[in-house]
Amino acid sequence: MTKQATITFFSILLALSLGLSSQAVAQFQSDFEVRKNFLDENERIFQELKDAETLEEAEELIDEINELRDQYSDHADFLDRVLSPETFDQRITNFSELAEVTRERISRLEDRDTDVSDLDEQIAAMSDSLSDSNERIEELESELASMRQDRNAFRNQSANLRAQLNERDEFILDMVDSIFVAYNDIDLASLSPGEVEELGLEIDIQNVLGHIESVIQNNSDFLDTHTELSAEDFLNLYAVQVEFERMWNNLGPKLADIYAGQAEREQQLEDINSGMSEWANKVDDSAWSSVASAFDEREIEISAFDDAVSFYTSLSSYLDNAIQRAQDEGGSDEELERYQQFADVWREEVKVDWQPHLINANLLDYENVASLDDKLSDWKVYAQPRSYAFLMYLGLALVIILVLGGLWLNERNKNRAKA
Amino acid sequence: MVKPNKLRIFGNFLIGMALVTFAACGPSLELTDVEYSEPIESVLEPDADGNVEDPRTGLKFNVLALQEEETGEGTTVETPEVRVIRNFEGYYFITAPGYRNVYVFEPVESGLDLYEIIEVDEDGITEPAFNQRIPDIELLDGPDVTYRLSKDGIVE
Repeated sequence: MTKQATITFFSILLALSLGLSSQAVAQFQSDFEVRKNFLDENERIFQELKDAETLEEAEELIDEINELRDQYSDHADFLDRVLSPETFDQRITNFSELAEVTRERISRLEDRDTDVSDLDEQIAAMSDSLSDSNERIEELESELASMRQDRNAFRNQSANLRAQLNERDEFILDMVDSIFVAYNDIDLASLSPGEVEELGLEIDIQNVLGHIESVIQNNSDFLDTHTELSAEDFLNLYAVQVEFERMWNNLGPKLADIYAGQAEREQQLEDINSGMSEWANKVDDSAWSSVASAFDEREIEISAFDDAVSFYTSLSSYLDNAIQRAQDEGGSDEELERYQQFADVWREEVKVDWQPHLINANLLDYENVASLDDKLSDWKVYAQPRSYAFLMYLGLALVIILVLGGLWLNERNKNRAKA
Repeated sequence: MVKPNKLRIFGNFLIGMALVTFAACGPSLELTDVEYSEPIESVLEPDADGNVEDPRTGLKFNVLALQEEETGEGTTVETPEVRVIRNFEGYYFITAPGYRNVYVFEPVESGLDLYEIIEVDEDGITEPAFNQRIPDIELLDGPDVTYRLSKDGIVE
Protein backbone atom coordinates (compact mmCIF):
# COMPACT_ATOMS: atom_id res chain seq x y z
CA MET A 1 0.00 0.00 0.00
CA THR A 2 1.44 3.32 -0.99
CA LYS A 3 1.69 6.28 1.33
CA GLN A 4 -1.03 8.17 -0.58
CA ALA A 5 -3.37 5.21 -0.34
CA THR A 6 -2.69 4.93 3.37
CA ILE A 7 -3.54 8.58 3.93
CA THR A 8 -6.75 8.20 1.91
CA PHE A 9 -7.78 5.12 3.87
CA PHE A 10 -7.28 6.77 7.24
CA SER A 11 -9.01 9.91 6.06
CA ILE A 12 -12.08 7.90 5.04
CA LEU A 13 -11.93 6.02 8.32
CA LEU A 14 -11.72 9.26 10.29
CA ALA A 15 -14.60 10.76 8.36
CA LEU A 16 -16.75 7.70 8.89
CA SER A 17 -15.99 7.60 12.58
CA LEU A 18 -16.82 11.28 12.96
CA GLY A 19 -20.00 10.84 10.99
CA LEU A 20 -21.08 7.83 13.01
CA SER A 21 -20.21 9.64 16.20
CA SER A 22 -22.35 12.66 15.33
CA GLN A 23 -25.14 10.38 14.19
CA ALA A 24 -24.91 8.56 17.50
CA VAL A 25 -25.10 11.80 19.38
CA ALA A 26 -28.15 12.81 17.38
CA GLN A 27 -29.71 9.44 17.84
CA PHE A 28 -29.32 9.45 21.60
CA GLN A 29 -30.51 12.99 22.00
CA SER A 30 -33.78 12.95 23.93
CA ASP A 31 -36.90 14.29 22.29
CA PHE A 32 -37.12 16.84 25.06
CA GLU A 33 -33.66 18.10 24.20
CA VAL A 34 -34.43 17.96 20.50
CA ARG A 35 -37.46 20.11 21.09
CA LYS A 36 -35.64 22.39 23.48
CA ASN A 37 -32.65 22.81 21.18
CA PHE A 38 -34.86 23.32 18.17
CA LEU A 39 -36.94 25.95 19.93
CA ASP A 40 -33.82 27.57 21.31
CA GLU A 41 -32.40 27.72 17.81
CA ASN A 42 -35.72 29.11 16.60
CA GLU A 43 -35.63 31.78 19.24
CA ARG A 44 -32.01 32.69 18.48
CA ILE A 45 -32.56 32.87 14.73
CA PHE A 46 -35.75 34.87 15.18
CA GLN A 47 -33.96 37.31 17.46
CA GLU A 48 -31.03 37.60 15.09
CA LEU A 49 -33.41 38.17 12.19
CA LYS A 50 -34.95 41.03 14.12
CA ASP A 51 -31.52 42.44 14.94
CA ALA A 52 -29.97 41.88 11.52
CA GLU A 53 -28.68 45.11 10.04
CA THR A 54 -26.53 44.02 7.13
CA LEU A 55 -27.08 41.90 4.06
CA GLU A 56 -24.26 39.63 5.18
CA GLU A 57 -26.01 38.91 8.48
CA ALA A 58 -29.31 38.20 6.73
CA GLU A 59 -27.71 35.87 4.21
CA GLU A 60 -25.81 34.10 6.97
CA LEU A 61 -29.10 33.53 8.79
CA ILE A 62 -30.66 32.14 5.62
CA ASP A 63 -27.82 29.63 5.51
CA GLU A 64 -28.36 28.81 9.17
CA ILE A 65 -32.06 28.17 8.55
CA ASN A 66 -31.16 25.78 5.76
CA GLU A 67 -28.75 24.05 8.12
CA LEU A 68 -31.49 23.91 10.74
CA ARG A 69 -33.77 22.25 8.24
CA ASP A 70 -31.10 19.67 7.43
CA GLN A 71 -30.19 19.13 11.04
CA TYR A 72 -33.73 18.51 12.27
CA SER A 73 -35.30 16.92 9.23
CA ASP A 74 -34.92 13.50 10.87
CA HIS A 75 -37.10 14.75 13.71
CA ALA A 76 -39.70 16.26 11.40
CA ASP A 77 -42.47 13.90 12.49
CA PHE A 78 -41.73 14.46 16.14
CA LEU A 79 -41.50 18.22 15.70
CA ASP A 80 -44.76 18.17 13.74
CA ARG A 81 -46.42 16.89 16.90
CA VAL A 82 -44.56 19.22 19.19
CA LEU A 83 -45.21 22.30 17.12
CA SER A 84 -48.82 21.40 16.36
CA PRO A 85 -50.84 23.01 14.87
CA GLU A 86 -47.79 24.26 13.05
CA THR A 87 -45.55 21.72 11.31
CA PHE A 88 -41.80 21.51 11.09
CA ASP A 89 -41.85 22.34 7.39
CA GLN A 90 -44.13 25.30 8.00
CA ARG A 91 -41.86 26.57 10.77
CA ILE A 92 -38.80 26.34 8.55
CA THR A 93 -40.66 27.85 5.60
CA ASN A 94 -41.88 30.70 7.78
CA PHE A 95 -38.36 31.30 8.96
CA SER A 96 -37.04 31.22 5.41
CA GLU A 97 -39.66 33.71 4.26
CA LEU A 98 -39.00 35.92 7.26
CA ALA A 99 -35.27 35.78 6.52
CA GLU A 100 -35.90 36.63 2.88
CA VAL A 101 -38.14 39.52 3.84
CA THR A 102 -35.48 40.67 6.26
CA ARG A 103 -32.82 40.45 3.57
CA GLU A 104 -34.98 42.44 1.15
CA ARG A 105 -35.76 44.99 3.84
CA ILE A 106 -32.09 45.45 4.59
CA SER A 107 -31.32 45.59 0.90
CA ARG A 108 -33.89 48.31 0.43
CA LEU A 109 -32.58 50.12 3.47
CA GLU A 110 -29.03 49.88 2.18
CA ASP A 111 -30.19 51.10 -1.22
CA ARG A 112 -32.02 53.88 0.48
CA ASP A 113 -29.00 54.59 2.63
CA THR A 114 -26.95 54.66 -0.53
CA ASP A 115 -29.44 57.01 -2.09
CA VAL A 116 -29.50 59.09 1.05
CA SER A 117 -25.73 58.99 1.10
CA ASP A 118 -25.66 60.12 -2.52
CA LEU A 119 -28.16 62.83 -1.72
CA ASP A 120 -26.11 63.83 1.29
CA GLU A 121 -23.06 64.07 -0.93
CA GLN A 122 -25.00 66.09 -3.48
CA ILE A 123 -26.37 68.33 -0.76
CA ALA A 124 -22.89 68.66 0.70
CA ALA A 125 -21.54 69.53 -2.74
CA MET A 126 -24.35 72.00 -3.28
CA SER A 127 -23.77 73.40 0.19
CA ASP A 128 -20.09 73.79 -0.61
CA SER A 129 -21.00 75.42 -3.88
CA LEU A 130 -23.49 77.62 -2.10
CA SER A 131 -20.91 78.38 0.52
CA ASP A 132 -18.41 79.26 -2.20
CA SER A 133 -21.06 81.38 -3.86
CA ASN A 134 -21.83 83.06 -0.57
CA GLU A 135 -18.17 83.68 0.00
CA ARG A 136 -17.85 85.04 -3.50
CA ILE A 137 -20.92 87.19 -2.95
CA GLU A 138 -19.46 88.42 0.30
CA GLU A 139 -16.21 89.16 -1.46
CA LEU A 140 -18.04 90.95 -4.23
CA GLU A 141 -20.15 92.82 -1.70
CA SER A 142 -17.00 93.73 0.12
CA GLU A 143 -15.39 94.79 -3.13
CA LEU A 144 -18.54 96.66 -4.06
CA ALA A 145 -18.62 98.35 -0.68
CA SER A 146 -14.97 99.15 -1.09
CA MET A 147 -15.62 100.42 -4.58
CA ARG A 148 -18.53 102.44 -3.31
CA GLN A 149 -16.33 103.81 -0.61
CA ASP A 150 -13.64 104.44 -3.17
CA ARG A 151 -16.19 105.90 -5.51
CA ASN A 152 -17.67 108.02 -2.78
CA ALA A 153 -14.20 108.96 -1.69
CA PHE A 154 -13.32 109.63 -5.28
CA ARG A 155 -16.46 111.65 -5.71
CA ASN A 156 -15.70 113.53 -2.54
CA GLN A 157 -12.16 113.97 -3.64
CA SER A 158 -13.38 115.11 -7.05
CA ALA A 159 -15.86 117.41 -5.44
CA ASN A 160 -13.18 118.85 -3.17
CA LEU A 161 -10.81 119.22 -6.05
CA ARG A 162 -13.53 120.74 -8.16
CA ALA A 163 -14.39 123.11 -5.34
CA GLN A 164 -10.76 124.14 -5.03
CA LEU A 165 -10.53 124.56 -8.78
CA ASN A 166 -13.70 126.57 -8.71
CA GLU A 167 -12.29 128.80 -6.03
CA ARG A 168 -9.12 129.20 -7.99
CA ASP A 169 -10.99 129.68 -11.24
CA GLU A 170 -13.19 132.29 -9.67
CA PHE A 171 -10.18 133.99 -8.20
CA ILE A 172 -8.45 134.01 -11.53
CA LEU A 173 -11.59 135.01 -13.33
CA ASP A 174 -12.03 137.83 -10.87
CA MET A 175 -8.42 138.79 -11.33
CA VAL A 176 -8.59 138.61 -15.10
CA ASP A 177 -11.88 140.42 -15.00
CA SER A 178 -10.38 143.16 -12.87
CA ILE A 179 -7.43 143.42 -15.23
CA PHE A 180 -9.77 143.44 -18.12
CA VAL A 181 -11.92 146.09 -16.50
CA ALA A 182 -8.85 148.04 -15.56
CA TYR A 183 -7.40 147.96 -19.01
CA ASN A 184 -10.47 147.50 -21.08
CA ASP A 185 -11.05 151.18 -21.47
CA ILE A 186 -7.46 151.90 -22.22
CA ASP A 187 -6.87 152.84 -25.78
CA LEU A 188 -3.65 151.09 -26.48
CA ALA A 189 -3.17 153.11 -29.57
CA SER A 190 -2.99 156.25 -27.47
CA LEU A 191 -0.30 154.83 -25.23
CA SER A 192 3.31 155.39 -25.88
CA PRO A 193 5.51 152.37 -26.44
CA GLY A 194 6.99 152.87 -23.00
CA GLU A 195 3.55 152.93 -21.40
CA VAL A 196 2.58 149.81 -23.27
CA GLU A 197 5.74 148.12 -22.13
CA GLU A 198 5.06 149.23 -18.59
CA LEU A 199 1.60 147.79 -18.83
CA GLY A 200 3.00 144.51 -20.08
CA LEU A 201 5.44 144.40 -17.21
CA GLU A 202 2.62 144.95 -14.77
CA ILE A 203 0.71 142.07 -16.30
CA ASP A 204 3.83 139.98 -16.10
CA ILE A 205 4.23 140.84 -12.47
CA GLN A 206 0.73 139.61 -11.78
CA ASN A 207 1.53 136.50 -13.87
CA VAL A 208 -1.76 136.82 -15.64
CA LEU A 209 -0.77 134.58 -18.54
CA GLY A 210 0.66 131.94 -16.21
CA HIS A 211 -2.53 131.85 -14.19
CA ILE A 212 -4.65 131.57 -17.31
CA GLU A 213 -2.50 128.78 -18.67
CA SER A 214 -2.77 127.06 -15.33
CA VAL A 215 -6.56 127.33 -15.29
CA ILE A 216 -6.83 125.89 -18.78
CA GLN A 217 -4.37 123.09 -18.12
CA ASN A 218 -5.88 122.13 -14.78
CA ASN A 219 -9.40 122.00 -16.15
CA SER A 220 -8.29 120.04 -19.16
CA ASP A 221 -6.45 117.55 -16.98
CA PHE A 222 -9.42 117.34 -14.67
CA LEU A 223 -11.64 116.29 -17.56
CA ASP A 224 -9.14 113.63 -18.57
CA THR A 225 -9.03 112.08 -15.13
CA HIS A 226 -12.64 112.46 -14.04
CA THR A 227 -14.72 110.78 -16.67
CA GLU A 228 -17.26 109.39 -14.19
CA LEU A 229 -18.78 112.70 -13.23
CA SER A 230 -22.49 113.29 -13.56
CA ALA A 231 -24.11 115.21 -16.37
CA GLU A 232 -24.75 118.03 -13.92
CA ASP A 233 -21.02 118.21 -13.07
CA PHE A 234 -20.00 118.23 -16.72
CA LEU A 235 -22.57 120.90 -17.55
CA ASN A 236 -21.22 122.95 -14.67
CA LEU A 237 -17.71 122.57 -16.10
CA TYR A 238 -19.12 123.48 -19.48
CA ALA A 239 -20.53 126.68 -18.05
CA VAL A 240 -17.19 127.54 -16.44
CA GLN A 241 -15.37 126.92 -19.70
CA VAL A 242 -17.79 129.07 -21.67
CA GLU A 243 -17.48 131.89 -19.17
CA PHE A 244 -13.70 131.63 -19.12
CA GLU A 245 -13.51 131.53 -22.88
CA ARG A 246 -15.80 134.54 -23.11
CA MET A 247 -13.47 136.55 -20.89
CA TRP A 248 -10.42 135.31 -22.71
CA ASN A 249 -11.90 136.28 -26.00
CA ASN A 250 -12.17 139.83 -24.67
CA LEU A 251 -8.77 139.95 -23.01
CA GLY A 252 -6.69 137.86 -25.38
CA PRO A 253 -6.55 140.33 -28.32
CA LYS A 254 -5.54 143.18 -26.05
CA LEU A 255 -2.79 141.09 -24.55
CA ALA A 256 -1.69 140.19 -28.05
CA ASP A 257 -1.38 143.85 -28.80
CA ILE A 258 0.51 144.54 -25.62
CA TYR A 259 2.92 141.69 -26.25
CA ALA A 260 3.26 142.33 -29.95
CA GLY A 261 6.77 141.75 -31.04
CA GLN A 262 7.64 139.66 -27.99
CA ALA A 263 8.10 136.21 -29.46
CA GLU A 264 8.01 134.42 -26.13
CA ARG A 265 4.80 136.08 -25.05
CA GLU A 266 3.20 135.62 -28.44
CA GLN A 267 3.96 131.90 -28.27
CA GLN A 268 2.50 131.83 -24.81
CA LEU A 269 -0.66 133.44 -26.11
CA GLU A 270 -0.88 130.90 -28.91
CA ASP A 271 -0.48 128.12 -26.38
CA ILE A 272 -3.30 129.59 -24.36
CA ASN A 273 -5.54 129.75 -27.42
CA SER A 274 -4.69 126.20 -28.34
CA GLY A 275 -5.29 124.97 -24.77
CA MET A 276 -8.57 126.83 -24.65
CA SER A 277 -9.77 125.06 -27.81
CA GLU A 278 -8.70 121.72 -26.41
CA TRP A 279 -10.49 122.39 -23.15
CA ALA A 280 -13.62 123.46 -25.01
CA ASN A 281 -13.61 120.32 -27.12
CA LYS A 282 -13.13 118.07 -24.12
CA VAL A 283 -15.84 119.64 -22.05
CA ASP A 284 -18.16 119.64 -25.03
CA ASP A 285 -17.65 115.92 -25.65
CA SER A 286 -17.89 114.97 -21.99
CA ALA A 287 -20.97 117.03 -21.30
CA TRP A 288 -23.04 115.78 -24.21
CA SER A 289 -21.96 112.19 -23.68
CA SER A 290 -22.99 112.32 -20.07
CA VAL A 291 -26.31 113.94 -20.91
CA ALA A 292 -26.99 111.27 -23.55
CA SER A 293 -26.07 108.55 -21.03
CA ALA A 294 -28.46 110.03 -18.52
CA PHE A 295 -31.34 109.62 -20.99
CA ASP A 296 -30.16 106.14 -21.98
CA GLU A 297 -30.09 105.01 -18.37
CA ARG A 298 -33.73 105.99 -18.05
CA GLU A 299 -34.55 104.22 -21.32
CA ILE A 300 -35.66 107.38 -23.02
CA GLU A 301 -34.72 107.03 -26.65
CA ILE A 302 -34.02 110.44 -28.00
CA SER A 303 -32.07 110.90 -31.22
CA ALA A 304 -28.32 111.43 -31.06
CA PHE A 305 -26.92 114.89 -30.34
CA ASP A 306 -23.48 116.36 -29.84
CA ASP A 307 -24.09 120.06 -29.35
CA ALA A 308 -26.62 122.45 -27.96
CA VAL A 309 -28.62 122.78 -31.14
CA SER A 310 -28.90 119.08 -31.81
CA PHE A 311 -29.70 118.55 -28.13
CA TYR A 312 -32.63 120.90 -28.25
CA THR A 313 -33.71 119.51 -31.62
CA SER A 314 -33.56 115.99 -30.29
CA LEU A 315 -35.72 116.82 -27.26
CA SER A 316 -38.14 118.79 -29.32
CA SER A 317 -38.48 116.03 -31.93
CA TYR A 318 -38.97 113.46 -29.26
CA LEU A 319 -41.84 115.46 -27.77
CA ASP A 320 -43.34 116.22 -31.18
CA ASN A 321 -43.31 112.55 -32.07
CA ALA A 322 -44.82 111.63 -28.74
CA ILE A 323 -47.63 114.14 -29.16
CA GLN A 324 -48.30 112.94 -32.67
CA ARG A 325 -48.35 109.32 -31.54
CA ALA A 326 -50.72 110.12 -28.68
CA GLN A 327 -53.01 111.97 -31.07
CA ASP A 328 -52.97 109.18 -33.63
CA GLU A 329 -53.28 106.24 -31.30
CA GLY A 330 -55.21 107.90 -28.53
CA GLY A 331 -54.27 108.10 -24.90
CA SER A 332 -53.52 104.98 -22.98
CA ASP A 333 -51.94 103.80 -19.78
CA GLU A 334 -48.78 102.92 -21.72
CA GLU A 335 -48.61 106.35 -23.29
CA LEU A 336 -49.19 107.98 -19.93
CA GLU A 337 -46.44 105.85 -18.46
CA ARG A 338 -44.02 106.94 -21.22
CA TYR A 339 -44.99 110.54 -20.61
CA GLN A 340 -44.46 110.18 -16.88
CA GLN A 341 -41.06 108.62 -17.43
CA PHE A 342 -39.87 111.57 -19.52
CA ALA A 343 -41.58 114.13 -17.34
CA ASP A 344 -39.80 112.80 -14.27
CA VAL A 345 -36.42 113.25 -15.92
CA TRP A 346 -37.34 116.61 -17.33
CA ARG A 347 -38.70 118.06 -14.11
CA GLU A 348 -36.54 116.40 -11.51
CA GLU A 349 -33.22 116.39 -13.31
CA VAL A 350 -33.09 118.60 -16.35
CA LYS A 351 -34.90 121.58 -14.91
CA VAL A 352 -33.55 121.28 -11.37
CA ASP A 353 -29.94 120.18 -11.89
CA TRP A 354 -29.08 120.94 -15.49
CA GLN A 355 -31.01 124.00 -16.45
CA PRO A 356 -28.86 126.60 -14.58
CA HIS A 357 -25.72 125.31 -16.24
CA LEU A 358 -27.40 124.92 -19.63
CA ILE A 359 -28.48 128.55 -19.39
CA ASN A 360 -25.12 129.78 -18.09
CA ALA A 361 -23.30 127.90 -20.83
CA ASN A 362 -25.66 129.33 -23.42
CA LEU A 363 -26.63 125.82 -24.44
CA LEU A 364 -30.34 126.49 -23.97
CA ASP A 365 -32.23 129.65 -23.24
CA TYR A 366 -35.43 130.15 -21.33
CA GLU A 367 -37.45 130.22 -24.50
CA ASN A 368 -36.13 126.80 -25.42
CA VAL A 369 -37.07 125.46 -22.01
CA ALA A 370 -40.53 127.05 -22.17
CA SER A 371 -41.10 125.57 -25.61
CA LEU A 372 -40.22 122.15 -24.38
CA ASP A 373 -42.45 122.66 -21.32
CA ASP A 374 -45.37 123.49 -23.58
CA LYS A 375 -44.85 120.39 -25.67
CA LEU A 376 -44.62 118.31 -22.56
CA SER A 377 -47.95 119.71 -21.38
CA ASP A 378 -49.54 118.89 -24.73
CA TRP A 379 -48.19 115.36 -24.57
CA LYS A 380 -49.74 114.96 -21.12
CA VAL A 381 -53.13 115.99 -22.39
CA TYR A 382 -53.08 113.59 -25.33
CA ALA A 383 -51.53 110.80 -23.33
CA GLN A 384 -54.49 110.57 -20.93
CA PRO A 385 -56.44 107.34 -21.45
CA ARG A 386 -60.06 107.80 -22.65
CA SER A 387 -62.48 106.77 -19.95
CA TYR A 388 -65.65 104.79 -20.60
CA ALA A 389 -67.56 107.40 -18.59
CA PHE A 390 -66.68 109.99 -21.21
CA LEU A 391 -68.08 107.79 -23.99
CA MET A 392 -71.23 107.16 -21.96
CA TYR A 393 -71.80 110.86 -21.43
CA LEU A 394 -71.24 111.45 -25.12
CA GLY A 395 -73.76 108.76 -26.05
CA LEU A 396 -76.29 110.08 -23.53
CA ALA A 397 -75.96 113.59 -24.88
CA LEU A 398 -76.53 112.27 -28.39
CA VAL A 399 -79.67 110.45 -27.31
CA ILE A 400 -81.02 113.54 -25.58
CA ILE A 401 -80.35 115.63 -28.68
CA LEU A 402 -82.17 113.11 -30.87
CA VAL A 403 -85.16 112.98 -28.51
CA LEU A 404 -85.42 116.75 -28.28
CA GLY A 405 -85.06 117.02 -32.05
CA GLY A 406 -87.84 114.49 -32.52
CA LEU A 407 -90.13 116.36 -30.15
CA TRP A 408 -89.40 119.63 -31.89
CA LEU A 409 -90.20 118.18 -35.32
CA ASN A 410 -93.37 116.62 -33.99
CA GLU A 411 -94.51 119.91 -32.49
CA ARG A 412 -93.75 121.80 -35.68
CA ASN A 413 -95.74 119.36 -37.77
CA LYS A 414 -98.71 119.77 -35.42
CA ASN A 415 -98.55 123.55 -35.70
CA ARG A 416 -98.47 123.34 -39.46
CA ALA A 417 -101.43 121.02 -39.49
CA LYS A 418 -103.44 123.44 -37.35
CA ALA A 419 -102.46 126.30 -39.60
CA MET B 1 -107.54 -16.62 40.62
CA VAL B 2 -103.91 -15.60 40.75
CA LYS B 3 -102.10 -16.46 43.92
CA PRO B 4 -100.53 -13.72 46.00
CA ASN B 5 -97.08 -15.31 45.62
CA LYS B 6 -97.32 -15.12 41.87
CA LEU B 7 -98.44 -11.56 42.12
CA ARG B 8 -95.32 -10.74 44.12
CA ILE B 9 -93.17 -12.40 41.51
CA PHE B 10 -94.89 -10.47 38.75
CA GLY B 11 -94.48 -7.23 40.68
CA ASN B 12 -90.79 -7.90 41.21
CA PHE B 13 -90.49 -8.60 37.48
CA LEU B 14 -92.03 -5.26 36.64
CA ILE B 15 -89.73 -3.46 39.05
CA GLY B 16 -86.75 -5.24 37.54
CA MET B 17 -87.80 -4.27 34.02
CA ALA B 18 -88.13 -0.65 35.15
CA LEU B 19 -84.64 -0.69 36.69
CA VAL B 20 -83.20 -2.20 33.53
CA THR B 21 -85.00 0.41 31.47
CA PHE B 22 -83.66 3.29 33.65
CA ALA B 23 -80.19 1.79 33.58
CA ALA B 24 -80.32 1.62 29.81
CA CYS B 25 -81.24 5.33 29.68
CA GLY B 26 -78.01 6.37 31.70
CA PRO B 27 -74.48 7.31 30.28
CA SER B 28 -73.24 4.32 28.43
CA LEU B 29 -71.13 5.95 25.57
CA GLU B 30 -67.67 4.50 25.17
CA LEU B 31 -64.89 5.92 22.92
CA THR B 32 -62.54 3.26 21.74
CA ASP B 33 -59.01 3.25 20.29
CA VAL B 34 -58.09 6.29 22.36
CA GLU B 35 -54.37 7.12 22.33
CA TYR B 36 -53.01 9.00 25.30
CA SER B 37 -49.41 9.27 24.22
CA GLU B 38 -47.69 12.56 24.82
CA PRO B 39 -45.15 13.39 22.11
CA ILE B 40 -42.62 14.62 24.58
CA GLU B 41 -41.73 14.13 28.17
CA SER B 42 -42.24 16.84 30.74
CA VAL B 43 -39.34 17.90 32.91
CA LEU B 44 -40.78 19.29 36.13
CA GLU B 45 -38.93 20.89 39.04
CA PRO B 46 -40.53 20.46 42.45
CA ASP B 47 -41.09 23.47 44.65
CA ALA B 48 -40.13 23.55 48.31
CA ASP B 49 -43.15 21.45 49.22
CA GLY B 50 -42.50 18.90 46.51
CA ASN B 51 -45.31 20.03 44.24
CA VAL B 52 -44.81 19.91 40.51
CA GLU B 53 -47.03 21.23 37.79
CA ASP B 54 -46.90 20.70 34.06
CA PRO B 55 -48.23 23.86 32.42
CA ARG B 56 -48.45 22.06 29.10
CA THR B 57 -50.77 19.27 30.22
CA GLY B 58 -52.09 20.67 33.48
CA LEU B 59 -50.86 17.64 35.43
CA LYS B 60 -50.11 18.43 39.08
CA PHE B 61 -48.93 16.17 41.89
CA ASN B 62 -46.55 15.98 44.84
CA VAL B 63 -43.29 14.09 44.49
CA LEU B 64 -42.63 13.47 48.18
CA ALA B 65 -44.47 10.12 48.26
CA LEU B 66 -42.60 9.02 45.17
CA GLN B 67 -39.30 10.23 46.63
CA GLU B 68 -40.01 8.37 49.89
CA GLU B 69 -40.73 5.25 47.91
CA GLU B 70 -37.44 5.63 46.01
CA THR B 71 -35.13 6.93 48.72
CA GLY B 72 -36.98 6.52 51.99
CA GLU B 73 -36.94 10.30 52.56
CA GLY B 74 -40.45 11.72 52.45
CA THR B 75 -40.19 15.03 54.25
CA THR B 76 -37.51 17.07 52.52
CA VAL B 77 -37.49 17.57 48.80
CA GLU B 78 -34.29 16.06 47.44
CA THR B 79 -35.44 15.36 43.92
CA PRO B 80 -34.14 18.10 41.63
CA GLU B 81 -36.50 17.27 38.81
CA VAL B 82 -38.87 14.57 37.68
CA ARG B 83 -39.38 13.38 34.16
CA VAL B 84 -42.87 12.38 33.18
CA ILE B 85 -44.29 10.93 30.00
CA ARG B 86 -47.58 9.25 29.22
CA ASN B 87 -47.67 6.23 26.95
CA PHE B 88 -50.30 5.49 24.34
CA GLU B 89 -52.35 3.46 26.85
CA GLY B 90 -52.55 6.36 29.23
CA TYR B 91 -50.04 5.18 31.84
CA TYR B 92 -47.64 7.72 33.31
CA PHE B 93 -43.93 6.86 33.42
CA ILE B 94 -42.08 8.86 36.05
CA THR B 95 -38.44 8.88 37.10
CA ALA B 96 -35.77 11.31 38.22
CA PRO B 97 -31.98 11.65 38.10
CA GLY B 98 -30.43 9.25 40.59
CA TYR B 99 -33.53 7.08 40.84
CA ARG B 100 -33.06 3.39 40.30
CA ASN B 101 -36.58 2.82 39.07
CA VAL B 102 -39.15 4.05 36.65
CA TYR B 103 -42.58 4.27 38.23
CA VAL B 104 -45.62 3.42 36.14
CA PHE B 105 -48.88 4.99 37.29
CA GLU B 106 -52.41 4.48 36.21
CA PRO B 107 -54.60 7.58 36.42
CA VAL B 108 -57.64 7.34 38.67
CA GLU B 109 -60.04 9.90 39.92
CA SER B 110 -57.89 12.65 41.54
CA GLY B 111 -54.93 10.33 41.80
CA LEU B 112 -52.30 8.15 40.26
CA ASP B 113 -52.26 4.52 41.26
CA LEU B 114 -48.93 2.78 41.15
CA TYR B 115 -49.17 0.15 38.47
CA GLU B 116 -45.57 -1.03 38.23
CA ILE B 117 -42.09 -0.25 39.45
CA ILE B 118 -39.54 -0.96 36.77
CA GLU B 119 -36.08 -1.35 38.15
CA VAL B 120 -33.61 0.03 35.62
CA ASP B 121 -30.23 0.53 37.29
CA GLU B 122 -29.17 -0.35 40.78
CA ASP B 123 -26.68 2.49 40.77
CA GLY B 124 -29.30 5.00 39.72
CA ILE B 125 -30.16 6.51 36.39
CA THR B 126 -27.81 9.47 36.08
CA GLU B 127 -29.24 11.30 33.10
CA PRO B 128 -32.75 10.02 32.49
CA ALA B 129 -34.82 11.15 29.50
CA PHE B 130 -38.03 9.68 28.06
CA ASN B 131 -38.91 9.48 24.41
CA GLN B 132 -42.24 8.45 22.99
CA ARG B 133 -41.68 5.43 20.82
CA ILE B 134 -45.10 3.90 20.35
CA PRO B 135 -45.92 1.33 21.49
CA ASP B 136 -42.97 1.71 23.90
CA ILE B 137 -41.41 4.39 25.96
CA GLU B 138 -37.74 4.92 25.34
CA LEU B 139 -35.59 5.67 28.37
CA LEU B 140 -32.18 7.21 27.80
CA ASP B 141 -29.49 7.35 30.39
CA GLY B 142 -26.94 9.63 28.87
CA PRO B 143 -25.91 9.21 25.28
CA ASP B 144 -24.89 5.58 25.60
CA VAL B 145 -27.66 3.74 27.42
CA THR B 146 -31.15 3.10 26.07
CA TYR B 147 -34.04 1.08 27.36
CA ARG B 148 -37.39 0.20 25.91
CA LEU B 149 -40.16 0.20 28.45
CA SER B 150 -43.75 -0.90 28.53
CA LYS B 151 -46.15 -0.51 31.42
CA ASP B 152 -45.11 -3.93 32.61
CA GLY B 153 -41.34 -3.56 32.48
CA ILE B 154 -38.29 -3.44 30.26
CA VAL B 155 -38.96 -4.74 26.80
CA GLU B 156 -36.23 -7.18 25.80
